[in-house]
Amino acid sequence: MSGAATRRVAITGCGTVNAAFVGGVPELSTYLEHPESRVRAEPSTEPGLVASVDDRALDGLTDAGDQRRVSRISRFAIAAARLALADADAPPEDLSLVVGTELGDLRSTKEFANGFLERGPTGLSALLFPNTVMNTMAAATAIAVQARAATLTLNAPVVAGELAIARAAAGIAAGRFELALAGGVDQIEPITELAAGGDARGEGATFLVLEPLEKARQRGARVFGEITGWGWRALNAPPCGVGRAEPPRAVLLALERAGLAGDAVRWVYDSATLDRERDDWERALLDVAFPHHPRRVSLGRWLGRHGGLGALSVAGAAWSACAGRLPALGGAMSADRGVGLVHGVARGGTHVALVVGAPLP
Amino acid sequence: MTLRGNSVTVLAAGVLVSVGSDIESFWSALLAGVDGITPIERFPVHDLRVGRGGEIKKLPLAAERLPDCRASQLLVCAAEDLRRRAALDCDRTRLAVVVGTALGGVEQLEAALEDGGTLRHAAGAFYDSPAHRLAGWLGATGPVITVSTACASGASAIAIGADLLHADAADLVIAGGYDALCRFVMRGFDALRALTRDRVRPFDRRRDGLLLGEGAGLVLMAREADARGRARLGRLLGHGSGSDGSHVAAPDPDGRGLELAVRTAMADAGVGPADIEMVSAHGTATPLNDRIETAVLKRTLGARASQVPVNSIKGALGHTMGAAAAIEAIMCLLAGQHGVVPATVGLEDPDPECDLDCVRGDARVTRARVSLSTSLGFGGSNAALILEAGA
Repeated sequence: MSGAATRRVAITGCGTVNAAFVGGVPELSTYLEHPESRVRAEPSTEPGLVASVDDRALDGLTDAGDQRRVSRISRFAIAAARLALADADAPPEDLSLVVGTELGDLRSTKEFANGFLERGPTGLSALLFPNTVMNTMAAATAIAVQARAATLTLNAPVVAGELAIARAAAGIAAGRFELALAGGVDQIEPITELAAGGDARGEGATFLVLEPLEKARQRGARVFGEITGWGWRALNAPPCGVGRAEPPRAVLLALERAGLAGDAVRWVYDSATLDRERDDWERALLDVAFPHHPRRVSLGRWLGRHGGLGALSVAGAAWSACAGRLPALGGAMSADRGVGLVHGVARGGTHVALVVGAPLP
Repeated sequence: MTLRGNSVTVLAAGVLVSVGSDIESFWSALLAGVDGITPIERFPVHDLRVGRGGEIKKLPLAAERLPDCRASQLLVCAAEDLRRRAALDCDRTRLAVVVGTALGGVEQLEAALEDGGTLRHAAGAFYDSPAHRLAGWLGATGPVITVSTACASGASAIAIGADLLHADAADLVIAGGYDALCRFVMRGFDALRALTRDRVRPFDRRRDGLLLGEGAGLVLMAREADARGRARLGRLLGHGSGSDGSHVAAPDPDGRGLELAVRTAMADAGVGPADIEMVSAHGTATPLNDRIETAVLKRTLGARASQVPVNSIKGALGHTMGAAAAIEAIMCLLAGQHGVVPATVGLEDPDPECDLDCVRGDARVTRARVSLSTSLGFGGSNAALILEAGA
């Protein structure tokens, strides 16, 4: 388990439950060929722009026991995890789990607090309280898919999913993890004030299956992408605020790890979600990093900001690298095969970059 | 002991708990067997079944200097204690902050709900804000990570911090955990009927539950090669984690996740049972936890389990949740450095089912250089650290 060990990181599966579709790599490919925005104006609720999941999408993916025992957000996570493992045809042995989330099970947390505030001690629910702990979705998912190795929850706004993928990739490369489900989950709550930027809120969960490339090939797994570089840093920014354009060190670290120069990046999946101030900051950072202005894709503009978005962007980048296509409203466009970047930056300054490419021999 | 080369140096530590506002007072209190459990004063408890806990009565820094949320205050105070002992002498872009928490800024959320539903002023505490506030306080612009494995979070944060050093993602890492006492969390554990009305009695025949505490514990870590010639507290030799995959609020009765965590940590460190000289148990004083830990330590350490001094400091501090594992790791390093294992406050009548060599009564003078620290969290998250003092 020495940190000196470095192994190549393969993506062998994807499972997602989001506002537009449910499924694995085939459903992802279909959506990216003909994407459409699921962001809708909902004047009766806060936030005003939402991309929500129809709960009927979970039918058949979670059983009666799940529906009775676990909360809605955990059912998102369980469903996406099961889809990803099935997509990868991966055995669950030595399975680690890294879950990114922005707000955790805020709905249960509010419900628990309100129970007491409204009804006093009789309003306390022993069933709800475990859901208020940040790792509750990871716990429910670990139980559902019998993940017995490490489980981690990483908490961050906007880029939780990217952060989880980066952490899992680092764990695979260093020999800490043998097989990892990594991604994120969130559900919509009326939290406009917290969002600060009034952006499009989404919900759902996406997980990728990551494993060492050599092992994946040995077991005959389909490899549909490779993560070759990752980096994360903190940019200077006030809490919940944005910073200025500066050399984007997370990008430089990710490229350095991948052994690439900036001009090798042909396209970028970014973290834009219609939060104008934050989106402008991200554009400024990318302009500094890539003077050649590679084409950009913003899945968050169509599916809304949530913890699963980063993993979905990584899966999208793998698809682009293999198919030579970039999703666009009205139909996907041709693009260079090869290497792309997944980029995320959050209000407050968390900054993540991942280099994603098609698997090479 | 054949070290695997995975160790990192622990240069210094900082702590804030009910029994001490710095390393010296914390250690003195542990040696003296001070009970830090008191009636809670910072918020109303008249409508709670249990109103006692390991509350910090006075912060060591003036309030006007500190951030406005309790969680960030605890972190900053612990960091200031740490900073008095070691210079953060690296490029600040290479200084990382990794903190663990079980409930984060939930107190601010509750306050927002009580105020009538606006969540605006919760924004400064929710998300990963306490970690970013700490990073801002220190001027750190390396990786900033908030991790949760519930009550094992402090250990997970230290483990991630070590991995960042190995991966050359940082040159110095401040890692640890925090959690604050508040009405929300008191009510939650009350709802689970996990809180005792007696005192906390880890490994005792009469144990019937835990009491909560609050605090923060942080360590400063560096790669071995970068730490040569510097004063140090010790080393993190290895770490491991494992998941029960059995229940969201109760530990696996067979302790399978904890066993995997301990075995992984020992393999990572390259140590065997004979090398372990002390165990800092999670030791919450719930009937199930202490029995499971006993069984797992017997399976993983074999005959050595009955020869190694074991303690739990939750009798003195209460269960500090996301901070607990980090504070216990610091205690391990201090115990090894001083050659003294603090006693388990509250343990008077050892449970025959927990037939370990639990230190009780007075602190024990013994060699305790290499230690194992175990942690269990809600949702079946388990973590183990192997530490070596001095060296």
